[in-house]
Amino acid sequence: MGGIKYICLLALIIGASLLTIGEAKSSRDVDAELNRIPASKWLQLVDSALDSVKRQKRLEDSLLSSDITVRNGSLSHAQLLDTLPSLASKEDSIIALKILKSSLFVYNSECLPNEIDGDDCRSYLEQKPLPEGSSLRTECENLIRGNREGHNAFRRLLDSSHYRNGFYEMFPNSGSRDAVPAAWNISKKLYEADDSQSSEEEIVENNSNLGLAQWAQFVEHDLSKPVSQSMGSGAPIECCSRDQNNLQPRHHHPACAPILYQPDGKYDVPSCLNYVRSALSVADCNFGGAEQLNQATGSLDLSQLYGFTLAAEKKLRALQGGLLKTTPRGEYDNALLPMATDTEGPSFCARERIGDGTCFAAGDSRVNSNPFSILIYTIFMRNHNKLAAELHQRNRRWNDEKLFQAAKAINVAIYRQVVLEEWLPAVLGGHLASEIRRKQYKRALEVSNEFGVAAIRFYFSMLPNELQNLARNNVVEGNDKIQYVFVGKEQPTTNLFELKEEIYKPKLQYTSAKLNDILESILNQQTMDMDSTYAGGVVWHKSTKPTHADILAFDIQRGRDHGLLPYHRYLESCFLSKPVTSWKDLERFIPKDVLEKLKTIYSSWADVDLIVGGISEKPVRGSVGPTFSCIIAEQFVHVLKQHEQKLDHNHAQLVEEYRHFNGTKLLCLNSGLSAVPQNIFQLPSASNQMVSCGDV
Amino acid sequence: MSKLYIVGLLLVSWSCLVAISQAKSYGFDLSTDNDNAIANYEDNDDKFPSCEIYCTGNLLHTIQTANPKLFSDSKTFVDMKLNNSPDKTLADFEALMQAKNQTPTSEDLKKFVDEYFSPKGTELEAWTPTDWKENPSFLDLISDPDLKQWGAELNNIWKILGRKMKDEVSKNPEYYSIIPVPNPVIIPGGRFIEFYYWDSYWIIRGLLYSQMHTTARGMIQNFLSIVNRFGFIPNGGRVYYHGRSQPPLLTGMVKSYVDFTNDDKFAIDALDTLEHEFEFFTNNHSVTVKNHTLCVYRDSSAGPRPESYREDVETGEEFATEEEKELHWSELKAAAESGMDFSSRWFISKDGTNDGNLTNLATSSIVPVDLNALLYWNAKLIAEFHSKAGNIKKVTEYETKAEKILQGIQEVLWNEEAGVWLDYDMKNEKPRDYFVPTNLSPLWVKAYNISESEKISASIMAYIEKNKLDTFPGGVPNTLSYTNEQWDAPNVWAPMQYILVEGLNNLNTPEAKNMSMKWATKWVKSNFKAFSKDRHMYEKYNADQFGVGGGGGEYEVQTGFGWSNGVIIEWLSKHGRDISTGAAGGGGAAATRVMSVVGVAAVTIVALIAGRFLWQSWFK
Repeated sequence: MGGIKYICLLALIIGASLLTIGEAKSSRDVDAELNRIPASKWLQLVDSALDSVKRQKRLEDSLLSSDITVRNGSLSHAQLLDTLPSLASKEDSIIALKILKSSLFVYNSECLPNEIDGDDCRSYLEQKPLPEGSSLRTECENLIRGNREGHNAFRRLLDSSHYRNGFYEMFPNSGSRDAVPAAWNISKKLYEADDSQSSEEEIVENNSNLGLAQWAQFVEHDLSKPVSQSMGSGAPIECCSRDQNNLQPRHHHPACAPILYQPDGKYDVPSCLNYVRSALSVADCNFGGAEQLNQATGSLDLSQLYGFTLAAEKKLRALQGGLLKTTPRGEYDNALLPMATDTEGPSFCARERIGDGTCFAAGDSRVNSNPFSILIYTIFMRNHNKLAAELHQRNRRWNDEKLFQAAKAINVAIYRQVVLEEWLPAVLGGHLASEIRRKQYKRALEVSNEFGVAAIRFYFSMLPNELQNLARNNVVEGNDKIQYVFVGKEQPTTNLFELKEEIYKPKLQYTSAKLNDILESILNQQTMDMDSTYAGGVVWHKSTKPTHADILAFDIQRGRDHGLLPYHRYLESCFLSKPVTSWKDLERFIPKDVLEKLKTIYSSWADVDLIVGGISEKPVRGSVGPTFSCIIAEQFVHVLKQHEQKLDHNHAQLVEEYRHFNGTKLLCLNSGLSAVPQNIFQLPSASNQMVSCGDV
Repeated sequence: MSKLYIVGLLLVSWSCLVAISQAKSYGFDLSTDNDNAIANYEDNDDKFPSCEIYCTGNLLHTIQTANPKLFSDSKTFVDMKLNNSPDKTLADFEALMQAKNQTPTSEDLKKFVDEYFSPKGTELEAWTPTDWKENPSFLDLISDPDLKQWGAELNNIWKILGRKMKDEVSKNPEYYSIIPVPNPVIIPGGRFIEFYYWDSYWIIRGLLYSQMHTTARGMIQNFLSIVNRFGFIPNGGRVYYHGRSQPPLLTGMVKSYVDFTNDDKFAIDALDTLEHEFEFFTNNHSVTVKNHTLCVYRDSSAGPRPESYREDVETGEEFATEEEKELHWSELKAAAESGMDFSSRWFISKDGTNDGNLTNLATSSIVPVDLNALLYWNAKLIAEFHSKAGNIKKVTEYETKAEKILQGIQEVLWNEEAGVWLDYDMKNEKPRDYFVPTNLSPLWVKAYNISESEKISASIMAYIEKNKLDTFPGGVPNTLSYTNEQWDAPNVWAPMQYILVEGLNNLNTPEAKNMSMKWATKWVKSNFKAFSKDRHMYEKYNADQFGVGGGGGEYEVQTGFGWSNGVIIEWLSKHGRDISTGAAGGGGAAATRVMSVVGVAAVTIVALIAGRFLWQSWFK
């Protein structure tokens, strides 16, 4: 039989080589084919696309008349706040969508029928300017020339996207050869009951406290804000029914890609979580594929606190003494964030009735995401006001504007110091974090898709279902410091809050004292392991109607929406000298039991999503696995370069005076705690001693 | 591109690597049936005995509107089989309602359904047509190897879509929603697991091109038997379709059969039944417009559509009174009779436009071009069959009927200004100047003055240009309004492409013939692209994209799919020598062919050598 094997193998090789020959149409052919299209035809293709965009309006009107839009207080509302588009990004996205539609018309009319595949077609089109004399060209040029208030397209780390048609189409979940497993199914299969998770805790050494996850989210809010597409009228898009089932196709908006779970069996009504495809961004006035819009910018500038635009910033200022608005609670240093007004309410909190309950306002709709975020936004708001007051003391004649700008500059500098000197080493390990400073790129680039919608999202794996009450009234007396080391595990504790109850609906009675308790508990509670298992409070693993979101399913879906390449491509580009060819090649990076699970989920290693591969990796140094480390590190090289390019010379000297500031000091000065650990991202221990706030 | 062949080569070599040598198995026993022999169906006095369960009533209402809902598709429930007699089922259901204080939970209802109903579709068996041919002759008419391969795969799908009713159905029809018929059928596919009336026209033509005359004749005989029993053909093979028909194409089916078989006797024998259907249809659908008698789509039943009950109740909520709700449901069902459920074609807004949504449906107030063109054609064909039989009196009678309809079409529906036929809005007494492929349907059935072909052609070509109908990469959309209803833009449907392409071809002018060929080619290539990508034929496609299935409407896009396959098989037969999958007119096609030759050669060589080795090793 040996001979047969060889012959068969030979045939396999011939077949495979023919396949590659057959597939490729040389780029010269593509150019020749498409260069033949006359100018008038290009115009006509763009017109057809614009007609079809225009006709979409009827569809949206009919959805609105059927009340298919996001209802206040719904799950979709909470999710919308996570991805809330500004007016300017809506406008940007609409033009980008017209360009994409035009490109797709060319693809469908001229490329596909002539056997030019999506990637070749797109490459050609990316070099092809929109036709002279088309209204779209004018519209695009006006946009590019105007003040875009800093939105950018997310960057693609490996310069290529992963779409079924090369432009925008997501891979289907069933019914074709290139189907990928549904996002929600992946999340459900990775889920393990919360108590079965703790058994492994001894194995991995994990001293991180929840501050690490909290700051990760804060950094995410600063650098990355993908936002949802909206209807032409600006109304938000809903892709699920009110009872979290799938909608009839007639109510399906073209920008919908809902997260569905199809139960087996006779009673087969699918559960549904909203997912609206991310807004698009105009990169240039050429044809091309989809590029997603980032409503945040690639430098650490506390835009989440101060607002992404000048107009937003102005709304948040008290406009006297350089201060930010606050909700007064006795002494100013214990102030809370300002409350959202009734009109702002729905863009900050997911409540059914406007004006019900606490709802904070800040520069980003994500402030009320959870108590962790509310706390850290509050700390930086307080720090700003503390700095402004100090400056005012020293410079009685400075006006509001001058005080504000100076306080902001110092606040940002302090924030950068803590993020770069303390948080980043905790995430990446000290070695890689210091390496970042040595790397030099010529030009600072914007935020990558891979960082914004995958790597930085690692912290959700670390979040627990609840924050235990580990506050001890924080009295530091003599040698009692050691008391913090073993707190928690052995002793029955009460909870400060359950995370799932607080998502975009602040329920807690927020007072300065409550924030102190939260802060202290964060510093004393260990994170969950960074692994492929999320806590039940952030995913929906049951087959019943969901009452909260599934973050992992959402991240998988969004990764696909943004056209991220599969996990192995990043692993290869970061570490491997040769391409991955089997599951076995992943063994070095992913624990065996997790890898076995992935094999049951994905039909091929080549399909594993970046977020799934990323959270599955064993952390080596720091807190995240090698691939996410690689992506985060790459981003931070650009972040540093951004800082260097946008140096604020006006406040350089002032900023220098605050060089000594660190995390401990930041927390001490802006809370009622009397002691804080030396390293604010690690549990207090013999090697991470408590520092008395009286001493700082 | 010769991908299919190369993939084939890869598969062959792979399978020989792992030494799979099993013969292909289709899962059906080929040897056991002679079902194509026409069975005798014993007539039942009670026409639709299971209607009290499946068409109306408290049980239907309660299950279909349960909250949370039991089924994602409302059709699931009404296709389930009863485990007990309708009377017992209803009595026990009433008892349940009493016990639960008229407010049973979804869980209570699930329990009831589990106990009293069997899963949908259990009355039907998969059936391999006995006259199926491995290599129907139409394959020889296709030059491009990939298209030829595809044609063979489409021919294979007939075996997947074959269905036969179990014997117990005709014995106990009251346990089923299915309407018993004597012969096995080819179904559309997907959620449509029973026969449908107008779908069957294109399915039957596809069967005839695939040389499956017996199956085709069996399906036509089913319809004849249904007319004999009920007087008309319901929308599809379920009792809950009892209040409506679909575009009347039975006579067209008989004509197709006779064209292929020259079996004039078949048509002559069917004449009584065909006349009966024609008379029944015209009697129950006629209106008078501008002193002409023309027909509209209608429905005669009460209540929401059982198979879309929940959806209809929901849109009905827009209306305050029961009376208004009934009117609304009646318009929904009339639209379903047209086959175009649903479309802005049937919307009349307050200001007399096609704006609005389902609540604006006014199907029965719109005189449709296609229905009247079809009835003209029916009358012409019946006259033609009578002339074969030598019944001169009948020929005259039906020629006269045809002539009357033609006058109506010319005077009410032809629109000189638009240069095309238009549906007529009786409410606002004006033509509806919106594109629908059916605006060109008189060309297909030659319901126009042939002597005016030149003039009509110029006018139609201008209409196509003005509406930019040739600018869509995936075919001509059903309308130009994007409403997310399935018979609106951007959806494209095989039967409508067929009407357009065959109609333009009938005009016989060079421009019209060119456009006809262009659209046929585009359709074949786009369907082929979708099939190569997804391995599916879809019920509908997307005009804005090349090779992509459609969307919108009440249910997800279905695969299978009867009429799509039928149209492609017909056009591969007619134009297979002139269509290639490669670049238009470029070197691509030639290169493809070379590659395929290499591929085929390689497969053959491997097969030969491997075959010898295997042969030897088995005998060692």
